[in-house]
Amino acid sequence: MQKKFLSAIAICSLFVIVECGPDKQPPVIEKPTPPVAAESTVDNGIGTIKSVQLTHPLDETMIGKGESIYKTKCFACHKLTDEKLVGPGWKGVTDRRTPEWIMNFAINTDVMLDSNLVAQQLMVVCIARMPNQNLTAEDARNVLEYMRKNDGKK
Amino acid sequence: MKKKYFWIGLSLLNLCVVTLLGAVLRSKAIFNLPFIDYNHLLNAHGHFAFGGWVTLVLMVLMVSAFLTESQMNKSIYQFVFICVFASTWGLLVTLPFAGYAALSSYLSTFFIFITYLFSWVFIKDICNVKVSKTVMVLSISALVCLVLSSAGSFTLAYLFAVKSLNAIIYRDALFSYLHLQYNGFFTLAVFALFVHKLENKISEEARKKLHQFSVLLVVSILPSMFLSYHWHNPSVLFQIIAIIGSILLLLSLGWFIAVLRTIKNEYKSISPLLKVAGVISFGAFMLKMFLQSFTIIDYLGNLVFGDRPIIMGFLHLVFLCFVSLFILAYITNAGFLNKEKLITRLSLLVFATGVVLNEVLLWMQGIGAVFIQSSDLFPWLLWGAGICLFAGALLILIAYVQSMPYRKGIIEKNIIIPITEIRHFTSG
Repeated sequence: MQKKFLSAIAICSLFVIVECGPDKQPPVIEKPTPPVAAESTVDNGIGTIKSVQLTHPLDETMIGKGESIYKTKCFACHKLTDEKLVGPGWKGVTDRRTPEWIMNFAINTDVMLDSNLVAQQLMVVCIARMPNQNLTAEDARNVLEYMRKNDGKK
Repeated sequence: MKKKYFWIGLSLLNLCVVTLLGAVLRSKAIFNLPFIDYNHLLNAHGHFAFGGWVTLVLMVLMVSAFLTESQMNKSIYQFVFICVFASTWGLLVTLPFAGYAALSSYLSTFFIFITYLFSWVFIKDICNVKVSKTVMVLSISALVCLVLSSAGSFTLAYLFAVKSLNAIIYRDALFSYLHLQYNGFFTLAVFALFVHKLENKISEEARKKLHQFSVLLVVSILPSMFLSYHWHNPSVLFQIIAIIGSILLLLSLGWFIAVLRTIKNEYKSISPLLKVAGVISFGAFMLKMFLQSFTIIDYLGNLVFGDRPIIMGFLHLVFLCFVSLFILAYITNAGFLNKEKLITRLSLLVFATGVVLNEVLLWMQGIGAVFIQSSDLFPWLLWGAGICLFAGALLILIAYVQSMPYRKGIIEKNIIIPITEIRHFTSG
């Protein structure tokens, strides 16, 4: 009995040593490079949205629709404050990203997460990949208006 | 088995911790808790629920139910339980603060190798025991699934290490891991325990049906895994295997219903509270099989995989409703808890209420997302369900401690009653 027990310990520790040994490091492949500085190029993301016409004052109908989309599809992962839940909090997002980036990300999530550097960096920070929410361009525009209201835009 | 009461007690303590973390996660959605990293804590919650609660309790129950007295007293099993307990507590302490850092990766790797060791020793032992073919098939397949699922974890660990969250590999690895754990290890181990408990009391015909169901269930596991790959629309071969998987799931569901009808009478004799737990648990299993087979329809699959409340609802349907309620009913029935005591009944009632409430709310929220209908109350109600689950788990732990004199009574009584009865009590 004692012998078996000891040999079991020996086998286990061997596994651990082998697994954790220095030469067991996985090969590093293409780490995402840091994002290009915001001043040099404006990052509008990847997708069909090339320019967004912002309204002043905010459009109340769009805000209403955006809010109901938020409460059903977004709020399980995103808070309205700057606190990160599963994904980043929304406070200040309209200052951090262009309206085009936000809408492209909402509509074209998978492509953006595979090729847009800022989106990829956020994914690494959050250790979670946002699933596609099947939003239309109109849905995304409504959500954007709701974000602008959340940021106190006029 | 030496110390089996001790290990079940620790598993129940771990269940308490799991539900506490769940309640904290729900709080984070409502309150301002900047010092908590949601995703790190979520990882800790998940790892601990898998390792600290279900894996540990299933290992202890399988060893104490199926093996002979001399086999179950081997120190290798005690060693495995200590390692499982220690590594999952290590993960619990490291994950919320550091995420997947060096130490937590070593600990989870260590945990995986301990599951290999357990599977190897247990499979060798069970081959030398006189259990029915059905129990043998179910328990060995359960452990094979446990071992296979580690391929998914290693792939995920690699992806995290190189910081590449490639959409297709990431989701395939994650879904394969979850599939082999949930539909493989957990489900098959639960049925192994169930069949073992039941088979001596039922007719030859019912036993045969039960065996056919078990074989179908085992056979369905690998093909139905391809339902998880279906979403990225791969080759025709994959599609065909996924369709076969879906049909096999429905077939085993049909067989299960047939089994339930033949063993109806057996079911009548158990106490009402355990009956309710059993109905919820097997109801959840049937719902799981049904829903899983329907993800073959593209439209439903796409709808489901992006809808977080539905994913959460499905995971908790299997984890809480089916597996956890079954285990709690099983250990109560086996005399680990004194079911005559008020606190036992109260604790199981509170926990089951939390389980059902949690499930109903998540599904309402998930289906609401499809129709853009929601309520501001959801986060609060889900928070309440989380608290209810924690309170239930805590009460179960208290009931377990208070049932100690009752368990001692069982052990002493065994000395004077015939040997078959001892097997019944201690292994049951």
